[in-house]
Amino acid sequence: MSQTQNVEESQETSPEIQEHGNLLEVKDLTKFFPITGGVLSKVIGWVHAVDHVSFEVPRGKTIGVVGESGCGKTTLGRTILRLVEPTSGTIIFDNKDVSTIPQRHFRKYRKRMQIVFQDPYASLNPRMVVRNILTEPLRVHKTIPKGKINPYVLAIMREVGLDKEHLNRFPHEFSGGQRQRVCIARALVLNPDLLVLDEPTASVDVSVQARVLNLFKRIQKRRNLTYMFISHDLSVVTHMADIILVMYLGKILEVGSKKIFTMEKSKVHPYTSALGVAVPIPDPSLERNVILLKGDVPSPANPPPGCVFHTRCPEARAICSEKVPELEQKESGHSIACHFR
Amino acid sequence: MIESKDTVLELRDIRVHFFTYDGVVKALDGITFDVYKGESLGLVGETGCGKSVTVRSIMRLIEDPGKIVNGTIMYRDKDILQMDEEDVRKLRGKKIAMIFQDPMTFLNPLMTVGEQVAEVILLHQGLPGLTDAEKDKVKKAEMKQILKEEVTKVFELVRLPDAAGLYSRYPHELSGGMRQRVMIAMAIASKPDVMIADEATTALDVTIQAQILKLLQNLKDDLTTTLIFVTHNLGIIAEMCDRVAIFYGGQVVEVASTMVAFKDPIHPYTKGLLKAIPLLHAPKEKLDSIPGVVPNLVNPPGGCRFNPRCYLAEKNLDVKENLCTVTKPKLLELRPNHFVACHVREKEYKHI
Amino acid sequence: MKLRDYAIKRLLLLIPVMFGVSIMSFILSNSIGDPIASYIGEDQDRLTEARIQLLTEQLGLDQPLHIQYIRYLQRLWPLETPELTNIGSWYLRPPDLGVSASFRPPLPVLDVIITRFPATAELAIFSMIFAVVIGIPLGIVSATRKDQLPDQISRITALSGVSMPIFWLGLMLQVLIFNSNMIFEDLGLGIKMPYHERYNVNKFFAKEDNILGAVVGLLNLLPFLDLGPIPTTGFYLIDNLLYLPAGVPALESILVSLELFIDALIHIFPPAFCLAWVQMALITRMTRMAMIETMRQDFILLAKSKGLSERVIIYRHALKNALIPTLTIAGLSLAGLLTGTVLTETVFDWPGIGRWAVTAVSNLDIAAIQGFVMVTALIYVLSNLLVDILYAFVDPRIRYD
Repeated sequence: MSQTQNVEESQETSPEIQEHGNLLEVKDLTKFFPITGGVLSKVIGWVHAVDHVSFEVPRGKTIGVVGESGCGKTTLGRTILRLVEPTSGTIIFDNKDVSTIPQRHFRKYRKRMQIVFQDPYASLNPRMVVRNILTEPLRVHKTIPKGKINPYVLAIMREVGLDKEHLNRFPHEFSGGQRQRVCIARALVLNPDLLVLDEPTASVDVSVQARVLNLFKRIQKRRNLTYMFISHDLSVVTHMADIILVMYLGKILEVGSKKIFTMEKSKVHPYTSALGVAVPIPDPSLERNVILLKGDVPSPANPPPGCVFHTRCPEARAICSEKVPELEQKESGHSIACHFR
Repeated sequence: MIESKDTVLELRDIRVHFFTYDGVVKALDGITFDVYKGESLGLVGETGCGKSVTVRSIMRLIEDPGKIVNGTIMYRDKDILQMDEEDVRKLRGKKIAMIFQDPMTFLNPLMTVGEQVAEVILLHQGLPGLTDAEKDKVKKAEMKQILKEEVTKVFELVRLPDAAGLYSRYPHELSGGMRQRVMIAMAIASKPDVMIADEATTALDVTIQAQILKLLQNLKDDLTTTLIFVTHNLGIIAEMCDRVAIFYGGQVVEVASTMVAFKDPIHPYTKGLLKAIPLLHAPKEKLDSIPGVVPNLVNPPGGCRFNPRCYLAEKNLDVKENLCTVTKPKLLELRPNHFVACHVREKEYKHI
Repeated sequence: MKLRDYAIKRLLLLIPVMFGVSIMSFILSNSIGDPIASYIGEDQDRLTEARIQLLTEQLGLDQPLHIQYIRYLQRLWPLETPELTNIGSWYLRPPDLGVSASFRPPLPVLDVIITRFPATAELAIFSMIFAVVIGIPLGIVSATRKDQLPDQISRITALSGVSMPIFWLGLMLQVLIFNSNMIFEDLGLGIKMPYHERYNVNKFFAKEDNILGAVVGLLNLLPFLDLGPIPTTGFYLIDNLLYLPAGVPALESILVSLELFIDALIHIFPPAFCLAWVQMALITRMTRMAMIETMRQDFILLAKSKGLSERVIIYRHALKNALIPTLTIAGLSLAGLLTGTVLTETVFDWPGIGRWAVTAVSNLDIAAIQGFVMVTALIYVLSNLLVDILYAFVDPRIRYD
């Protein structure tokens, strides 16, 4: 596989490669969006999209972020890449605080952090052929010498399961799964360390989803990539992730292993177990006791006081509406934010 | 669960074509199955497999450039496809009601949710609890009051909070879950024989989806109706349905009880599909995938539409050449109450 | 944001907009020629060097342009402050827009606008009603009978509406009416009075000859009330309907006013038709497009699945949704009609502000041009605001952010 060697050769070696340790550390990251109103467009409130979130991701691992719509998982991914500027908090990427450096200096980190969006059709320029889509970031960041661009791009295409003949096609000529492969290839050309995957399989079919997920796993193994996998589909996240973050109204309620959704009720956050049993399982022989959460998710513009989950929590007591529970470590790699766990 | 096998709907050889500029999309290629009274039947398949087109054909809601070119749909000894428009309209919303996917786009944004439900009640029941003579005397304001009370009752039935105050709210003022309940209220307002839920929970969050699924289950039991549940989510089928019909590329490939279809499927596509999904309760390291892509229905593969992706068809080259790629397999009862459309399986089971 | 807040915000935004417009119009109109030129006219002999000198000083034309502009703004400012320290002595006065020199004798621009604007407004509003009342149903019919005969007819009508210049259409209409009138006259059925005679405001309406005037007159008899004379509204259709000839029995006077009203209607029809055609074409096409788009929406499918009839679906569910984009077009049309009457008023010799603007431009009447531009800008901004507020009544989803 000469192409593969090419890839390896042309890889830019990141300064002081660390085999272990955390690639990403996020501390108290907060993103509030202003709500304006009145005659003079004054700020009359804030949408608490991401509210003092802290976590760390070891190199080569996958962190899965789950939660319902409006929980801030998408904003979290974009804030880490500084596609959205954080309100406060620090983002430490490869032992360097990248949250406050100016955008133009951030560029060299930007190429090491890439994102794959949910809708591959919307995120690909419909007037560009695949060749241009894939070579454009290379020309911007100039990471590969001009003469080597073509074989390099071909190698990447092979890696994601596309053929040479796809090079001159437009996005609309592909199926949904193939389009997502183009997006993955575009994210890979700059040889990133961190890949934020924002609902990457939400718009592909079940039979195709399996192949895309397998592809993600394969690429991760080969390149020692770190993933941040954002999805509302619990089964997909648990399949992919090593660490799982459960978010609700901008807050992290629980950090744990992929087993948290099937663990005993008393050992996990009430929201986590409710989520776990709410997912319909394709096994008709399984008898399950679904805990129905009452009501809807409150608006992130006006989150409830105390524990954000108390309005829907089946176990809520008086203290829950008064005091905010801290995210406390229960055992190694498992933290819960709840007064009664 | 279902003892008697009275059918409410009998679909026979339904063919629907869409005449587009790119060519004729053969969306349905001879759909055949029965719906039994009181059961909940799941229709499952991927994008473009024809499950939604099938249920829209039952309501005769296929819009231009689509056309139902062949088939019969028997409802109470009458062929829906032969009825005149007037009779079909008396069926829609009254005998057969539909719950659609996205509660935001399917509700009229400029009408209050109450008005939208009241409209169905007035159309199909008139003013409930009144004789014709009395109806003529009712003034407009009174009529509104009576309808409002009726709507409130239906809203309570679908467990909407503050049912009375909801009448004059607009769709955009409600949450996704509440909007979906309003749509369900519209569907059950006339206590239909058949309720069709077309991806009714796809746009919702899991915890809200669980609420809605529970509600549909309860309503189906309370109103003793038949439920047809269209979804791409195998988990929902397993939880909601007694029987399931699996669709692929505009054909039905397998019909069986949910238990049998999930535990002991016969058709290679069903088997592949079940292996391809990640499971929350039983994680696997690698997912088995089905090679290839969903067929293009303008120029679909000949014979069995699954044949290019089928491991059975590939192994039996002679079979492939003779049958799988040429003749469309018939949906046959290979085991009692278990229907499969596959040439290779058909041969295997004939030998037994 | 509340609708009231939004309206206030938009009205406040009016100030910088009008400020910008005043700068633009001031600079542009002062750069087209010598303002004194408009005083030449027929009085060439009397315009001696000394008089030019005097006029230049009187009008402040000897000052640099920015000083002239500041003075212009000072005259516009409606608050008169004789003594800055004594707030009680402040009073409101009408803004001074200058003097329109294209009249002999010159008239204050504001007076000209006030007397002429109703004629333009009447023509525009009448055309608007015309365009909406015909355009919207035509659009619905074309949408529901897509690609059938009614749709084709409306398409041709609309196309010809956009492609026929107003002045040509106006002239053709005049020729047509003149010729047919000749024939009618031969038959003894003609409209006898030429309309320029009819449409002379000052000559036609005596102050008390009008119902409104009579009511005001009666009220003025009360010792504690003095409303002053309200002569006419300036809208010919309304004034004619309210006309109350002195010393004529009641029944007969109603017949007279009715006859006058019909006559006014006949006369407003050709220019209004001319003016409305383009807007009608736009509204028809917009309604058709929006209607077709709405009929493809999901909620229409739901309405069908409820068993509603085609008629109910179109009129109860689709129409209101389809009218939202039409409303935008109609709002822009209204502004366009009010100001775009320049051609129509010229062709039909209609005594509105459009006709006056043409005269003003050809006479280099700078104060008049500025006044016209300011009024036009104001109308545009206000009619846009009106449309935005109307949205809130049609569409409950609108939030003003």
